[in-house]
Amino acid sequence: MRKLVYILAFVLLLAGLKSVAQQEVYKVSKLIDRDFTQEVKEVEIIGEKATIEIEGWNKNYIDVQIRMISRNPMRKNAEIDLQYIKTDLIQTGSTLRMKNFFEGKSSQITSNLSVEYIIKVPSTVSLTVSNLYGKLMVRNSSNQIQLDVSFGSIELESVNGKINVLSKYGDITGDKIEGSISCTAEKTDINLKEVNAPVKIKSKYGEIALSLTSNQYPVIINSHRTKLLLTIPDKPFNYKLKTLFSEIDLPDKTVIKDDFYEKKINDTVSTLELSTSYCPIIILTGKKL
Amino acid sequence: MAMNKTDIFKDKISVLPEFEPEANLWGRIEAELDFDLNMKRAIAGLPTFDPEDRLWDEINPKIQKPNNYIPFIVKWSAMAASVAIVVSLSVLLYHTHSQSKIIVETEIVSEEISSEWPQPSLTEIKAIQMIEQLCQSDKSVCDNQSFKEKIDLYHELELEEAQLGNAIKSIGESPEMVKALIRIENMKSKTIQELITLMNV
Repeated sequence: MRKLVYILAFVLLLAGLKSVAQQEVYKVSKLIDRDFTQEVKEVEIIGEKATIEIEGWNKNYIDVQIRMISRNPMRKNAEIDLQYIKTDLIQTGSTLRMKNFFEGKSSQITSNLSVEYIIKVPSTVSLTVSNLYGKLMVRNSSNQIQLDVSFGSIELESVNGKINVLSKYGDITGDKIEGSISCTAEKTDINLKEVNAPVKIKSKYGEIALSLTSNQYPVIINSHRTKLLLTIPDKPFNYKLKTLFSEIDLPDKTVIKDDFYEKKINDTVSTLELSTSYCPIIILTGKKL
Repeated sequence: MAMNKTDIFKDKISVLPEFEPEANLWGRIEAELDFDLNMKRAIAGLPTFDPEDRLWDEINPKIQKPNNYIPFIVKWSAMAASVAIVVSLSVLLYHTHSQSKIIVETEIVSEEISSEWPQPSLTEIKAIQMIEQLCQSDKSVCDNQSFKEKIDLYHELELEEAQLGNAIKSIGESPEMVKALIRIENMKSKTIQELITLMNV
């Protein structure tokens, strides 16, 4: 009997291992590499199934690399399907616009198609980016940033401009956030670390985790069915907290059930104004996320 | 008696005609040989003479230049051809620059063996059908605001799932698409559970 159990376990292990396979595919790609030295004040990107990487740099020109990629186990099919990826890259006055889209019937395309943008911009340029089904990364930027992503993720690092984000069915992660951040998120998880900026979030279905480094800026989260977890420095804050059908956990270990909690110290410190429903509000001190 | 070869040869020679060369023949041959020798001696004894340096300077201006006339039509045709070549070359260079190089690589990708688009499970379909049937018989629960909200959410999730499914079928999946799909699936399951809980209350 014991022998039979071992055999069964081995078979199950093999079945588990077989659930992931490795395959060799042809990656056929085409690269557009351009520099824009003329006066550009705004960059607009409309991506579809694109990985968009934007980085601020200290040079006075914009470097644009757009790579169209087609993957297929058959080289010929990968080459043929590359034609269905279309891109536009045009400068109109002081605005540099770029976009990609897929043109062709679903039945014609047999390859996995995607696009990669690597953009380097000076700090004076503002960004307006939308993306569908892909990842968007913004690093080292002090520009005004407007992001709109559905079914994809957003990663922010060392950003200190005015940031506006719209997200649906995705994840937002951030580290070293300054300036200000305003976000409307739906079915999205948000995790922002080292936030030293005013925060304003509207959320529906998801989880929000914020780690604040100071008590200088207000945090307003108006959410619905969203779990809220805040890590704050060991400093005084004003509180205005509300949850429905759940509980509030305060730094001093006080737990308030299904209620409203308000505490005002003075106007010189920031106020945490948080509301949600069916999910808890948890506020911790000191510990990093 | 038979004759030998030598006798035959002597006999034949004796019948050949006789020929006497002219008396001055050798004298003429000797005279021609003497002429070549004398000529060589005479050339060796000739004086050498170098022309003055300024001579070519005086000759050059007097040499008539060849006629360089090119007809008007030929001249303009050549110019037009040159312009055409330059323009063609520029267009060619522009196209070479604007047309990106295609790179072919191979890579190993990991993928799930069963990566077919997940269909709603039978349990899920049955649960929704059951909820809708119960709503027809007992509307008190289904008129509840929270219940309506969840039903709307479920249908919205179904719609988003279908949209995502079409995109994956058309252009292939990405990790972000699969993550969004998992999120939708989890939310759908949770919503059904919440609907059933509300109906049991």
